[in-house]
Amino acid sequence: MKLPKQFDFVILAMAFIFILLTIYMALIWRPLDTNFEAPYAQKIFYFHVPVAWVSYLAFGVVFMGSAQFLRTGQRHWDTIAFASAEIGVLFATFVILTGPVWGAAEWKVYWRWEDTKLTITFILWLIYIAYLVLRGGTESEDKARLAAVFGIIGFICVPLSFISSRIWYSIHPNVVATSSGSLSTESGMGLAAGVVAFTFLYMFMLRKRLLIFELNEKVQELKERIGGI
Amino acid sequence: MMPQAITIAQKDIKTEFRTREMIFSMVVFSLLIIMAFRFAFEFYLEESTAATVSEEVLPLVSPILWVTFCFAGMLGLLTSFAKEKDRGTLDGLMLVPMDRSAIYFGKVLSNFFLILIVDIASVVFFSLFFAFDYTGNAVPMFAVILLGTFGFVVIGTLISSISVNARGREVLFAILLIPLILFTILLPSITATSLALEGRIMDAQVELRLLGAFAVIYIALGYLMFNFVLEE
Amino acid sequence: MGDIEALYIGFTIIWVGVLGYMLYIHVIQRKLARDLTLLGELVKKNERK
Repeated sequence: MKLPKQFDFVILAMAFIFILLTIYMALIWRPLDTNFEAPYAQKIFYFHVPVAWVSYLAFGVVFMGSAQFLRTGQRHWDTIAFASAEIGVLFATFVILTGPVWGAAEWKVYWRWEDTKLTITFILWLIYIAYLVLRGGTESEDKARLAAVFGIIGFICVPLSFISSRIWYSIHPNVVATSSGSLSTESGMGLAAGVVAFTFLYMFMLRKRLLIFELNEKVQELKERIGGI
Repeated sequence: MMPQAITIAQKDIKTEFRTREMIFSMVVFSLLIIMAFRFAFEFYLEESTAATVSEEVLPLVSPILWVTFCFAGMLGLLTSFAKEKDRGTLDGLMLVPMDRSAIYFGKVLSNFFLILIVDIASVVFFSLFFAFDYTGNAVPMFAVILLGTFGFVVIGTLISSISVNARGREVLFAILLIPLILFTILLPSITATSLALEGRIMDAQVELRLLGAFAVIYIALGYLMFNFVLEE
Repeated sequence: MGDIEALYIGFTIIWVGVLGYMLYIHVIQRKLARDLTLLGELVKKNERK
């Protein structure tokens, strides 16, 4: 998309501001929550959750991009989907890594398949890694189309898997201490700041990644003009 | 569209039974998988303190069977499209003036039939290697296997049509398919089969409904998306 | 895993990851920009002939 360079700078600036705000709110403003075993580690929450939500957003963009690409055939939709999937997988990896870190400190448990959120994030991660493997590095038109089809299938399978695992774990419950928690408004504000921060960060990273695609295309075009290097 | 799909399915099945090479490989593969599981669980079975052989094997039946179905089945699913693409017969099929989804439905039917044969063979092999008696539960178990296999084949056919066009098709097929079916097909099927084997098939109603619903959703998905996969 | 350690580790994972990705993009961007100028000159030379 042809937007002025200042736009990128504005996004980066907003991301930076909100990241600082989130860090401030998470670490300094919010007191140590004594309900938790590991109150310091709990502050990971203010980053872990926003990153997870933004990764869902990224995968939603993959779905939209894939659908639009199949509908209109315009390559830039496929490019958006591919770039978004990359960043989405990156963020999902953060979620999968920081979750157990927090879990180990708090509940001494690294992973619980009974928690549907964990399984869904894991499935999501697998599906979009599969998407990236399929899409690969080549720019062939056919590959893009196949990946788009898989992008749509994958996106639909996530809620299906969620429903299925939710039902399964409710019928066959495992007695493990659950981590429920009510959200105070201050925590909510910290969370909101985090979501805004990471959304801007995602947008910035996406635009940078799209720039790479553009440059690559230009380089390929020049190479062809010289005569197939 | 359905008559054309049935014709395609018949063509596939007849071709397969002429040489029988694919179904033979799939059955042998399932035999090897069951054998591998038998030896993998040797220690577990030795140490088990259950009263009868059937009792100690019971928790293993369903998972082992379904893993076997899936991996042996993936072999067949991929080969069915690979054959067509490599020999150019897929292009021939696309030239026929019919709704291209008929190709998809035809493939689903033929794959379902062939994989069902492999499933039955696996069930027999399992009872041989693990000395397990299905007793009165064979019929409900088989009903669950039918339903689960159908869902598996429906989504598997679509994904195999995607992966057959890309490089590294076998591995790609597994990478694409398994995350999709883990919770939607595998988990409900294994649970329902286990319950069926315990004689408690009526407790599995939720799982069976899930399997049915997902099969329908996957068919709709296949119908909608298959044309995009075949586009040139 | 200790309490504060977990916070440090969690923090590091995210920010190292983000900065690492940005660095990777930056490096590739530089390389492509350089390729672009080099190729641009080659093209000009070619088409002058």
